[in-house]
Amino acid sequence: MLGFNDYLLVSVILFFVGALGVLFRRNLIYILMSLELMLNSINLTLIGLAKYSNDTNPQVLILLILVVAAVEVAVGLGLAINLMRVKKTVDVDLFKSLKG
Amino acid sequence: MNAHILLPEIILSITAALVLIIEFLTPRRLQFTGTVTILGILLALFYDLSMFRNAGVGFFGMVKVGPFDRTFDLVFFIGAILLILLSFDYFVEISGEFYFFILTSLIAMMLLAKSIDLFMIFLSLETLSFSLLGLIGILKQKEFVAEASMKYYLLAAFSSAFFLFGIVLTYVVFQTTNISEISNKLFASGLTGIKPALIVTVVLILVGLAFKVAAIPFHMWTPDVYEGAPAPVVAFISAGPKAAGFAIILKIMLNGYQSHPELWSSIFAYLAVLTMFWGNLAALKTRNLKRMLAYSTIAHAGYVLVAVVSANQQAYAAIVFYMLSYTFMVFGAFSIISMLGDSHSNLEDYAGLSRTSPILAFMMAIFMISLTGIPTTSGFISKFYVFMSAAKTNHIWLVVFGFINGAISAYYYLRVVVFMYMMDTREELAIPYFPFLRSVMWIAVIFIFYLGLFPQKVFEIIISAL
Repeated sequence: MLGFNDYLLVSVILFFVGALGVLFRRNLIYILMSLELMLNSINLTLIGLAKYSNDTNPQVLILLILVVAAVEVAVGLGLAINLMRVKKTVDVDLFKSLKG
Repeated sequence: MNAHILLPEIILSITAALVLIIEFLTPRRLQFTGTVTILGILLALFYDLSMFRNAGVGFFGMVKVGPFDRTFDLVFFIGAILLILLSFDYFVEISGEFYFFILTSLIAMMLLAKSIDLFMIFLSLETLSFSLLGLIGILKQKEFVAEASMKYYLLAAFSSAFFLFGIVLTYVVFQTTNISEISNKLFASGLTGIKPALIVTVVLILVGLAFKVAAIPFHMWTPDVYEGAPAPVVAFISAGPKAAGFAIILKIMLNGYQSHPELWSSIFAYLAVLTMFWGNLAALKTRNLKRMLAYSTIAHAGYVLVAVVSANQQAYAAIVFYMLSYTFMVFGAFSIISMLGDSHSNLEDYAGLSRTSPILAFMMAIFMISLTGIPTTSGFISKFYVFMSAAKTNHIWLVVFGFINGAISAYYYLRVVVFMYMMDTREELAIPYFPFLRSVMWIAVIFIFYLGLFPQKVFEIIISAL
């Protein structure tokens, strides 16, 4: 029988998969997808919490996080398109004009 | 619902909508749109000050307003007004959305300082990040700017995901996201059984906040964004949002986890030392003034974190005072950088400035001396208060590290002065007369000396607001 801790474990694993993706992927689109994965893994925790407690708050919070995630991706894709126009690439290794 | 406690924010929201409409009707009339924005901000400031002593909770317990939050508001308002003044001379032609983003970031910062619900804090934090993104990327055709805004976006989104995870785990532990309820529950139940989970949540929340105040290990964006973004925007980022970040740190750690300082106190102490040292040592080898000020802002975040560790009444006031005086120092320095232009921000461009434009060189020297923290300037007094509060709570080793860092920082701040006064120019830079940039410079100098010579009055006002 699945318990809340299993949900938590899966979402923690997914969260860190996403985090590693952001850190080590070199393509901007993959990075944006990994960010989305991080946010949605947080939703999974809340889903588990909503299932195993008689509490409706987590469901509200999920909707809220979904909206924020949508905004985040919209802004990110806009920036990516702008970068594409200016630099003609989405490979983050080539963004070297500011030596970071 | 008690909507009137957020009257200043409501006024600012209406102004923001108005600015968009004005921009639609009369496009690219920079000074007109800017003036409307300033009028809206002044009106909001007036209401903010007239309600200074009113305290209350509203919006379903998500917002709590008191005099202390309003002192933080003052820092945000000053930053926004100075940024608008700088923008009049700096930008030749930009769209009115610039002012819209100033207003939304102002609203977000004010809400950050006032919200007592973790989700409210998260939403304001996101609003703040995206508004700042709009300000950084306003000249989006430039290669540097496009890259700087992308870097800021990636790290903002990354760190806010950690912050969100921290909030959700806090909810799992306490079944609430309200900070005062968390404090009550923690006080009642103690740490038995939940200590490991709490440490995880504190660390996750801290990651999100460290990004906002540019503390280690989430400082990597600062140098790049500072170099790429327009100079006035950089001044704004290093003043207001940083103060908002510290307001949140105070709120979550000191109000929420008040009864158990062992959860966060030592983390902050190490963070403060690392941030101070990293910022100051990295600044030593840079030869670009904007980049150098980026490292210096990291170091200053370290000094303020020292006050966070000591966590008493005086430390609260010291943080507000520090951010106030830092706002003036950084706006002064960046007003001069704006006069010379972003493409002339290398140290060599400042060589011999004392001969070509003596007033600018003298002012720049004052700002650098104040950033170093030499007496009679506000930089000294603000550092003095921070270290005083640390010494009173027996964090002597933090004070010692602070003084060592002050000595290191003198090298790179005074190197600018050396370049201006003792080197010869390679090429003559003709600096046009910018009325607005100069007025910001004079305002900054006046306040640096006012806060430096007569700090008592301002400090007492802040203390009485606690």
